[in-house]
Amino acid sequence: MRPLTLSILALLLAVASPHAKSPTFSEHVSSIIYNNCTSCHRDGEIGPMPLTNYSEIAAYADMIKHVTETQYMPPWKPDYNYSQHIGARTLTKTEINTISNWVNAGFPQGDIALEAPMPKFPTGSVLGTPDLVLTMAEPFTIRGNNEDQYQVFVIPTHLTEDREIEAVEFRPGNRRIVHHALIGADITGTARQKDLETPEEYGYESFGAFGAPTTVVLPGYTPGAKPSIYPKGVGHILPKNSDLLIQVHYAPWPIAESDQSSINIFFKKEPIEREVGFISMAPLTTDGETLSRLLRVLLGEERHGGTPVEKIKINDIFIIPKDWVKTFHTTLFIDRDISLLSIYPHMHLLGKYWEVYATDPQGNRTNLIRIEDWDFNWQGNYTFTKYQKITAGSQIHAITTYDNTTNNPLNPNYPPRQLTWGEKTTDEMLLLVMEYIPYRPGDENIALTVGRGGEISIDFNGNGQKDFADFLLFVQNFGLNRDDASYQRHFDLNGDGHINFTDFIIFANQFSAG
Amino acid sequence: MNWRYNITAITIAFFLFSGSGLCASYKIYIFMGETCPVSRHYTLTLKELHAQYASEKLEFIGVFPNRLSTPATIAAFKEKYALPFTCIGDSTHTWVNRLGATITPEVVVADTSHTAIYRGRIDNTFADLGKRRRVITENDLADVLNALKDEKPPAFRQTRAIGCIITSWQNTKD
Repeated sequence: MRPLTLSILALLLAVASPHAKSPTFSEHVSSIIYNNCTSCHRDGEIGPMPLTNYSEIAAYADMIKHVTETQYMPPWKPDYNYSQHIGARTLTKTEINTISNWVNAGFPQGDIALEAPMPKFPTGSVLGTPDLVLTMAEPFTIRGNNEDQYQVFVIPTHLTEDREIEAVEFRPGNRRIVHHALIGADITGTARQKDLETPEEYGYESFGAFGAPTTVVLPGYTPGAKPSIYPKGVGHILPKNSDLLIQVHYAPWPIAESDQSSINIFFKKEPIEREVGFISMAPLTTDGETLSRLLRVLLGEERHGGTPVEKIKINDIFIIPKDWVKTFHTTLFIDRDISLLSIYPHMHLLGKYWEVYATDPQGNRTNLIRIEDWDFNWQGNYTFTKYQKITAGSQIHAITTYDNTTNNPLNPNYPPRQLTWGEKTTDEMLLLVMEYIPYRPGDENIALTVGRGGEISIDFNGNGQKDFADFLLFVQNFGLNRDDASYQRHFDLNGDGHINFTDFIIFANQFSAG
Repeated sequence: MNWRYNITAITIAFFLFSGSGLCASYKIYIFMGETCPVSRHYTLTLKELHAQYASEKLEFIGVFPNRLSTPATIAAFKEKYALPFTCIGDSTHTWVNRLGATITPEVVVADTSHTAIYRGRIDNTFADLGKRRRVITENDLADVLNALKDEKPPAFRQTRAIGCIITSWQNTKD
């Protein structure tokens, strides 16, 4: 390339760059880190290195550049461009470039007067005062042998009647070691019995799931995620006399540490009109029928007049031979109109790839989730930014790939061995659970949001009022997407990367709420 | 020059001269970060390796290169994870530059003239950040220490350490 062409290119790049001068910490980088990283990266939280001021962030500058460029951090596994889920922890390309340019320029601090304010991180519940608090009966001490530990704790609810649930908030006792938690309810006493069988330790170990039947699976916990609230008229029912089960994943840790976590439960203030049901896909045999029927019963899915799943098909028997990379295509046939709220894909250590999409009878496609690089440690229940309508006669397709070769460092066997379905670390799973309700016209326009009160602010100009000036600001930013240089996160009210009609609905609701 | 740099200088001088005369002695420098999770993870392995191999001729030394490392943060880390070897600060990156470390944790096995015979990972637990092998198949540091124990120093070898990048801050503009 000739020098003149290079100069023109350099000039164009300089003009195109939003920080032609080279960004500074105070003016450009502090707001990115404080708003995306610090909620976990501060004292006592799971993020190991605190990132709460310039010195701490500069000391890890090269590492921060690396993990953001490779998108290892912030941790968010689903492909953001494929489908949108609430609470996505991702940086925009502009933000990643800003960090990179700042580090390349020698991470200058700049004018401290321009540093972004630190967000207010809640010290208690982010939802308010809970109606019921259930706490682990005693502290649990991990082994501290650098292995992951999956422990199920059984906590009696002592409920004398069924209660309708609006939100569930898991509160880790020791945020340094609690990696994630799954929550369910058991009315059979099975889990209680299992706990009694291991009197030497509190709770019992279970890798795959709860190791007991659950009538309801409630929203779980991953670090940095905010608890979601079920929309008006929609929720779960926590049965009377049920035991709450929490499966806590404790991260590998080299020394013993203790945890005593608790769960805040918020009851519905108005009655539920549509109880949340579950669709589960767990194909073990070629027609997928046997185990899936069993799981439907276990998950208490027989409500709303029975499951909306007419049948399940899988293209092969669920066996992964050694030294094979194997892909399964599973299809669910849906027999009535439903609205999906969330999706929970689950596989173990051989798992590499998840893709789920729906096709309606006309052949229209709705993308539900894609995870290109499955990571068991970052599994989660992903709530859609709005209800996903699935019409009667639709098919939900799941494509899953497993790597049972030595190229997969997580392979539990070396040399590899043939694996099939099971609950242990050395077994595999192909499980998809979706929350749904019977469809009602208009569902597709209802935004699902996180948090309550202060979580969403439409006071964009910060004058303490929600007024016409805020509306004008919102309109000016309408239509921007996350990779546009002028995109600003706080206008994207549901955090899905698009400032669009869904955000407008949220804006209007907040506005009319006064 | 404040007291901290004096102490660093004395520490460096001590380690520069303490090994002279023992031509078959080696030091195992382990670059670590108090807040680096991969460093924390390896404390267990390092304790086991130390118990198995440390001797008068094989000395383990923890080196802490984070710019915010202080004698207090190093002492707290050493105590919490019960590290049985000497730990020194290197926030000025004297040892980082001398031995060519770029990651925590990364080990450099060197003779008394600071000629490295091994630089890199402790073992292959991590295939990448967050990718923890369930079955460890390469024990690189143990292999080097076994060879040294048998007085058969291997030819120089380097592997890629996985962990936290040591921020090079000489050019910082703050």
